[in-house]
Amino acid sequence: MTDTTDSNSGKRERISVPEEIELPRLLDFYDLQTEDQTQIHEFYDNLQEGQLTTTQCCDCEEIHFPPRIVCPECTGDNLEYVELPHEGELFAFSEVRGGLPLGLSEHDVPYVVAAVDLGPIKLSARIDDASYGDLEIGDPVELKIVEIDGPADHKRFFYRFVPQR
Amino acid sequence: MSDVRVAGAGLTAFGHSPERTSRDLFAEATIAAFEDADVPRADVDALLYGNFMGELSEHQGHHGPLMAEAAGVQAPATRYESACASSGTAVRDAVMRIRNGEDDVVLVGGAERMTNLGTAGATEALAIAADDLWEVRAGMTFPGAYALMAQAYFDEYGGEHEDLAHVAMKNHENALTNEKAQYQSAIEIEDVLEAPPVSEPLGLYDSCPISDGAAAAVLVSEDYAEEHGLDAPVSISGTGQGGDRMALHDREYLARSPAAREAGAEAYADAGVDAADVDVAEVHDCFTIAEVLALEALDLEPVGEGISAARDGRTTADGETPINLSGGLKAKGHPVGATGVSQIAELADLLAGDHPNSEFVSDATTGVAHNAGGTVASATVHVLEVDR
Repeated sequence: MTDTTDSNSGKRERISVPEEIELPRLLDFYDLQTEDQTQIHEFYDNLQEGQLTTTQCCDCEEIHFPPRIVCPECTGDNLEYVELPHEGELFAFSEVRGGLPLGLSEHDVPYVVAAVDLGPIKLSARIDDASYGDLEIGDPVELKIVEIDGPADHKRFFYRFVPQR
Repeated sequence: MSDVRVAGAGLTAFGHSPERTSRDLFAEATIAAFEDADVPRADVDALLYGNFMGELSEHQGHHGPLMAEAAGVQAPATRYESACASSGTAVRDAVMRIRNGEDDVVLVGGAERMTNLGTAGATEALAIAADDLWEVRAGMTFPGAYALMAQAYFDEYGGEHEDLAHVAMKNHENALTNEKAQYQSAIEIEDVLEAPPVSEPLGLYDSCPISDGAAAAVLVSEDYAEEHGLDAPVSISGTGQGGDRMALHDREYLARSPAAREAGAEAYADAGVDAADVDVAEVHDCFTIAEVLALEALDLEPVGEGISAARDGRTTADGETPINLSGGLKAKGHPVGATGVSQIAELADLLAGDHPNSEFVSDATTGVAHNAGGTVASATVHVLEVDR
């Protein structure tokens, strides 16, 4: 028989966990945008210069969005960057009023989010300076480039749209 | 090729149990499944387990062996992740393993612990089913994406929010007698229309709840069922899976689900049935509009007409083709990784006459389960048939 009596009852060591833990921000979820960090750096370089671009397949001529490294249509990898129009139409839209995920801290509800049809491609984008009740499918919108402040050692950029005036 | 039989299934109650781990939930579901199946744990050849957000909600990866242990089985175990279609893909692989003779007995299941994250945390976890760089960073939330589908549907085919409210009301009505359901309460059209908006045009009552829960099913080969004299009248006779581009904006039509159509067509052909043979279905109604799109993708309603199915009574419990007699994701709840297997469990019970709502489908022979991931970039469809 082994001795199973509690050998140190009354003077147990205590460990504790804090009520709240602050974790370092290991990642912020925008792409790191330079040449040594992503194979689609040209998209971001062009955005910085004021141009919205994406890849087109040199073999099957499919235009993709987001920019790709391999063509998902024909599986070819001979791609080139082409300019996209800076004006498009609302394909469908919603106004986000609640249910905002943690971590989307750059968005304050309510805001309008849409699938924007640029002709060759559609993309998801936030529509600034707009509210749901004032918009209709097909309304014209235009590009607005924003700069991202955040924990990266280089300037980063993203796109939004605004109603065309 | 061996037919695949559902020997037994088990579910936990779906709902709010933030204090329980997913292994605790899954253990409960498997105890019920083994009891129902009358199959010894020692006969299990493999565990295929669906889970979506375990890393985020429980700081836990490598679920396969963990869940085999929880279930009390000693067998190779693999986790399946395909967002909300996680355990649907597990069922599909289980069916194929049994058919090709690799396995005779497969434990298939899934679980999800979500409510411990809180609403914003669970929403964050669900959002990772979308393309994080090109949808979520652009402000696209999960309800937002389905709101776009609803708006695109109304624009293309007509319909209004009140039509969707009938889907929610129907599914709550169906859940009244389902003791596993998160909501066993009736709602009225006005409740849906007057609920707080989440993402226009969808409101709180257009959305399924955030849920904890687990599901398990013991699938066996026809030969095994015969040798062991099992009471297993329901077979999985068809399986299909479809895929699509990840981002919703990359689809030609937002109000159609090609991945579900592809999965449905494959499953029907596999089972040798067509849509007209389907007597009852469990479809993935994470939002009210999703049920409408699922009916059309499965050819249970013509494109553009699914919107009126609930309102006109075609899909209610006493309608021609009752849809989501379990209460669906909307009222039964949606513990993401458990949903695909729970649909199989509910459908098997409905067809076998063991479900509180079986009275509505007493002559039914053919049922369909439709499980969708994200904005239906992945989908599985299974056909179940019962010996009559």
